Amino acid sequence: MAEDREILREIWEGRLPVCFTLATEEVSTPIAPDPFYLMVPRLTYFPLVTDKVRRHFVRCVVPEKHDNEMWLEFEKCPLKWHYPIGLLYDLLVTNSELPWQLTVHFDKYPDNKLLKCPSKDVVESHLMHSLKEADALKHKNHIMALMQERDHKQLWLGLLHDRFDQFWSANRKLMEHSAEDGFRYIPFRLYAPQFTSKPFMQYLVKSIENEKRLTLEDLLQRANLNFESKGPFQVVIHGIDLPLETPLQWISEHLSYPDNFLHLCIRYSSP
Amino acid sequence: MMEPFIDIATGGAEIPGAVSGFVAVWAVTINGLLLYREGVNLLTCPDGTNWKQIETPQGCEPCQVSVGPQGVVWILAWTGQLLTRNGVTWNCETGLTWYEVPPPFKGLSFSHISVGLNSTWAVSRENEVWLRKGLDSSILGSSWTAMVGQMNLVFTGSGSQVCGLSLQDQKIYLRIGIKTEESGGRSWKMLKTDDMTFVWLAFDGKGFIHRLEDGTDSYWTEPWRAEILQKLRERHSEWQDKFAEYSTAAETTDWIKNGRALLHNRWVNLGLRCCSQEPLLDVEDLRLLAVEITAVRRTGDLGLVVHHLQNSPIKLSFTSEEEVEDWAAHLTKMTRASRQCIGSFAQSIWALTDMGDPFVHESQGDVNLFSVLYSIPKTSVPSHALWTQLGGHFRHVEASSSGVVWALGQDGTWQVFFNCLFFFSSSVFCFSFSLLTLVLNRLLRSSWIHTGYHGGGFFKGVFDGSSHGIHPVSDEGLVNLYENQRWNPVAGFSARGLPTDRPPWSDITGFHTYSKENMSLPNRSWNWVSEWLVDYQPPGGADREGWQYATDYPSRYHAHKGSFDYVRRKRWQRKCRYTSTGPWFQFGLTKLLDISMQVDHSGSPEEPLLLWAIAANGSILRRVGVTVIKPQGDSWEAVLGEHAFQSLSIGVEGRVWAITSLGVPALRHRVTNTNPDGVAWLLMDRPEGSATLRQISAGDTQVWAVDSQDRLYRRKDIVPILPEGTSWELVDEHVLHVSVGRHDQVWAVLDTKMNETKVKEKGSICIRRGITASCPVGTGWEFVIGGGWSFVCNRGHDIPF
Repeated sequence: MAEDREILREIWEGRLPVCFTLATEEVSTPIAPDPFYLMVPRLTYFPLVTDKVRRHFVRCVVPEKHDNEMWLEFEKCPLKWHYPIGLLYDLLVTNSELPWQLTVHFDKYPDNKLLKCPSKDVVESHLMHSLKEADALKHKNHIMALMQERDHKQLWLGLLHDRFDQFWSANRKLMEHSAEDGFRYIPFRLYAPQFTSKPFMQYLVKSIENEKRLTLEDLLQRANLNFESKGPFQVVIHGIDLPLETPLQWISEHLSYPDNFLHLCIRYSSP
Repeated sequence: MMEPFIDIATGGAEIPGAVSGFVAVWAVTINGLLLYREGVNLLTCPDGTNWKQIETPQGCEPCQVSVGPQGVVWILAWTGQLLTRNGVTWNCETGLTWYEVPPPFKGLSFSHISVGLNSTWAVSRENEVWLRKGLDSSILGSSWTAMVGQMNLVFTGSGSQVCGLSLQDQKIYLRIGIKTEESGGRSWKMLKTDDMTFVWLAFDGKGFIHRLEDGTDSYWTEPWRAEILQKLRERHSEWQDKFAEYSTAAETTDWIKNGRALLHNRWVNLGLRCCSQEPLLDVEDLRLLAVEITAVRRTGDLGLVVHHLQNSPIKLSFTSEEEVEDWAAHLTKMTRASRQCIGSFAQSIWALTDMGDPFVHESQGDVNLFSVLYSIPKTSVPSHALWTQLGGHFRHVEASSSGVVWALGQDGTWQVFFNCLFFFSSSVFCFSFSLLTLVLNRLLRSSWIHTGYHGGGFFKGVFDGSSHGIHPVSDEGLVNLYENQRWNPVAGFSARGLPTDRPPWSDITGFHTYSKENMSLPNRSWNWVSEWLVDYQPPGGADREGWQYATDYPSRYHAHKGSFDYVRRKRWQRKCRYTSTGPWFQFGLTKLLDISMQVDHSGSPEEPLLLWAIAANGSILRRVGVTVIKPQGDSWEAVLGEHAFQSLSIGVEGRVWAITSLGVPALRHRVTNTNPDGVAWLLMDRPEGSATLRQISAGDTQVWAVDSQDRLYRRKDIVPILPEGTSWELVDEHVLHVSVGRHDQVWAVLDTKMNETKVKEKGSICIRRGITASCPVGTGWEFVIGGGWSFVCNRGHDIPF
C-alpha cells in the first residue's frame, strides 16, 4: 500500500500556471477580453477547472455560440480533455515556458480530434472507466467491484474538489497488494510519439517477475524500441524525469494519476 | 565519508539559561559513534554548523541516544547498558563525563530508552517496561520501577506524555494518570488507530504524536526516492513566487449561509459560500460567482432580484422581510468584497429602482479580480459593473462631477408627498462637516483611502466599520385606496357591482383588489402613522361624503351625481412614514419637484456650483452658496418668472433647460456668478405633433427630452452661435427617463424589453451608443441592467464609457 505521504502530497500539489486567451477570431466585443490566469492542478482534467474561464470569455463571443462547448488549443493542437492536465503539458510543451499559453475556442469544435464533453458527468464516467481498467490490470478488477458506490464518489469528489484526504481514503484500497507479489500488471501508458502513430503504447508488465522487482528500465526494454537511437531521452511524469532504476511497483503506487495509470512521456532533450 | 546514522534525538529546549531557539541534537552512527550537532538554533541556524564526536567509554558503543527536555542525555549501548552524562548546562552543552546507570538487577539488558522530564522510561530486551525515577534530585536517579504491560518501544513527550507501542498488536498505548507526584502514571490506554499498526512514534514540541505506520516495503532511504522527491519539490520552486497571484482552480468550499426561497413558485435551496476565496451563490443547480452579480434589488412583494451576467435576472421570494433584508445585505456585501470595491463613489452613475431604492454604479480603481489586477474603468463594460444599494428612499438623484450629490425624496411610484430634500457630498461616499476633511478628500482624491462609510438602511452590521457618516433618513407618504360602488334600482348605490365591475375596494386602476386590512407597505422601513381617512378633496372634486361619480368605469369622475351616473368611488388615504438610515444628510423641508446641477464644474473646492430646483408650485429656485466644500449651500433664492415648470437641467456655460408645467421646453441663457438669474426664459417649439414634454436633460452639446407618451427627443443643431438649437427630432419610444452627462453621454431607462431573454420587468438602464459628430443621435442602445429600474443619473460621471 502506498504509504509515502510525502511523495503523494507533492504529486497531489503539482500545479501549472495557465494563461487563457480567447481566440481573436471569436471575439465579438469591441474590446478583446483580458486573458484569464489560473493555477490549475496537474492531476485534474480541464473540464473540471475551467468553469471560470468559460464564464470569463463567453460574454465576449456572439450569443449564438454561448451554449457551445468550449475547447482549448495549444500551438494549433486541440487539447484532449480526457488527458490529465499534467500529462498534456508534459507531452506537448517542450520549451517549458510559463505560464502555459492556451487559446480558448467556442467555435468549430474539432469533432474529429476530440471527444465531446458536454458535462462533468462525462469526465466522471471517463475516470471511473480508467480506474476499472487499471484495477483489472492490478487486481483482476476485484477491488473496484468490491468497492461501494460511496468509495467511487470519494474518488471523484476528491479529485473534483482537490481534496487529497478524501481521494486517498478510497484510493489507498486500490493501491493495496500483497507484500510478495505486488500488482499483477502495472497500469501504465507510454507516450512516445516519435516512435508510433498511436496516441500511446500499452503492454503487460508485471511488478515482480521471478522474485525480481522490475524497474522502469525493465518496462522500457519491453517496449522493444531502441529509445536511445534518437539520442539521450528522459521518461517524464508529473514534470520530472524519473530515475530508471525506480521500482515499478513503487512508481505505480505513488506516481499514478488519479485514474490509477502511469502516464509516462518519452522526451528527448534536443530535437 | 560520514557513516550512516541509526538514531537521532533532540531535546534540551528547557535547559536552564539556554538561549531562545536552542535545541540539542544528538546522533548515533552505525559504527557506534556518538555525535553532537553544534550551533543548532531553531531561530537562527536550524541546521547547525558541524558534528562533534563525543567519546563514549570503551565497550559501551551506543546504539541509541535520548535527550530530555532539560538536556539530560542517556545512551543505550549495544550491550544493553545505560549511561548518562553529567555536567550538561547551557554553556557546556555536551556535558563532562559518563556514568553507568545500574540496571534493576544484574543481567537485565535494555533495548530502548526515552528520557522524559523527571524520569526515564526504558524497555528491556524481554519487553518489560521500566521507569527510572528521581532524576530531579540526581542525574542517576534513585530507583527502577517495573510497569505492567509489554511494549516494544516507549516514547516520552516534552511534557508528561508517554506512549508505548505494544508488543502484541503494535498499537499505540497512551500512559494515563501521570502526575508530578506519580511520574509512572496509572495504566495504559489504547489509542484508536483503525487497522493500522505502527513501528515508530514521535512527539512534536506541542506533545502531538506522530507515528510511522508499519510498511511492508522500506523505500525511505533509496537514492531514487530522494531524487524524485527533490525533483518534485523543485518543480514549483522556480516559479512559485512569480505566479503567486494566480487564483486556484479547484473548489474547496467553506459554507457561509444556506437557505431556501421560492423561484418560479418552486422552493429552491440557496447557498452562499466561499470557494477557494471565490465567493459564489448557488441557486439550486445554478451557480453564480459573486463577481458575476451586478445588482441585488428588492421588490415590494418579499422578493429579491439578483441581476447577473449569465442570463435573465433571478427573482427569489422569501417568507419574511427579515430574510429578504438578510439575504440582500449578505449578497451585497459578498459582491462588493469579491470586486474589492473601495467605496469611492466619486463620479459614479446613480440609479433608482421602481421601489425608490438608490443604487450606485461604483467607480472602481484597480480591481483585483481573480487575483489579477485589472484596471476596470478603462476596459470595463458598463453591464459588467456592480450596482450597490445604499440606504435611503428617493425619486430623484442629481450628481455633479465635482462630487456633490443631491437627492429628492420619494413621490410618484406609490403616492407620497412630502418631498424631503437630501444632500450628499464630496468625492467619496462619505460626508463630513469637517471642512478640512472635505478639502483633503477633494485634493487627494487619487490616493484617498476609503474608511468604510457606506451602507445604512438594512445593511446594519454588514458593512464594516462604524455608522459614522450614516444619518437618519425619513420620508412620508399617503397610500390611496378606492371604495367603488354601482347603482342599482333596488338598493341604490351598493358594493354589489356587475360581474365585470371593479372590486368594491381597489387601487386606482381597479385591476387590483385591496382592502383596508390587507393593504401592506413595501418593507419594514415603512410604518403606518394614521388610520384610514376619507379624502374629501380628491382631484376632480367630491360630494360632502367624499364620493365621486361617473357614468361607468373607467371614466372621468365629478363631484355631483348626474342622472346618468351609475358608479361612484371614494378615496381613502392613510399616512405612512419611511424611517431608515443612509449616508445622507437631510437639511430642509422645502418641497421640490426637480433639481439640477451644472455639468461643467471645474471641481475646484471653492468655486460656486450652479444648483437650481423647481419648487412644488412650479416656481424656480436657485441655491446660493453651494460649493464642493459646502454642498448644502446657504439659502434658496427665487428666480422670478411667469411660467411654472416641472423639469429642469443645467447644461454647460450657464444654460438652464426646462420644461414648463404645460410641457413646453424653455431655455435660460447666460447664468453666471455675477448674473445668477441669467436672461429671461426663451420658450421653444414643442416637438412635432405638439407632444407634451415632461423631462429634460442637458449635457455639453446634447439636450434630450421625454414626452408624456414616453417618446424620446433630441434637440438638433445646438452650436455655439445657436445654443438653443433648431428643432426636436424623435429618437425612440418607450423611454421612461433620460440622463445626459459629461462628454454628451446619454443614459436612459427604457420601458421596452431590451433583450427578451434577459428582462421580464419593465425599466432597463441603457447607454446610447454610436454618438459622433456626424451622427449625433447615435446608432442604438446598449443594455446595462434591467428591469425594475425607474431612474438613472450619469451627470456626475466623468469618464467616458
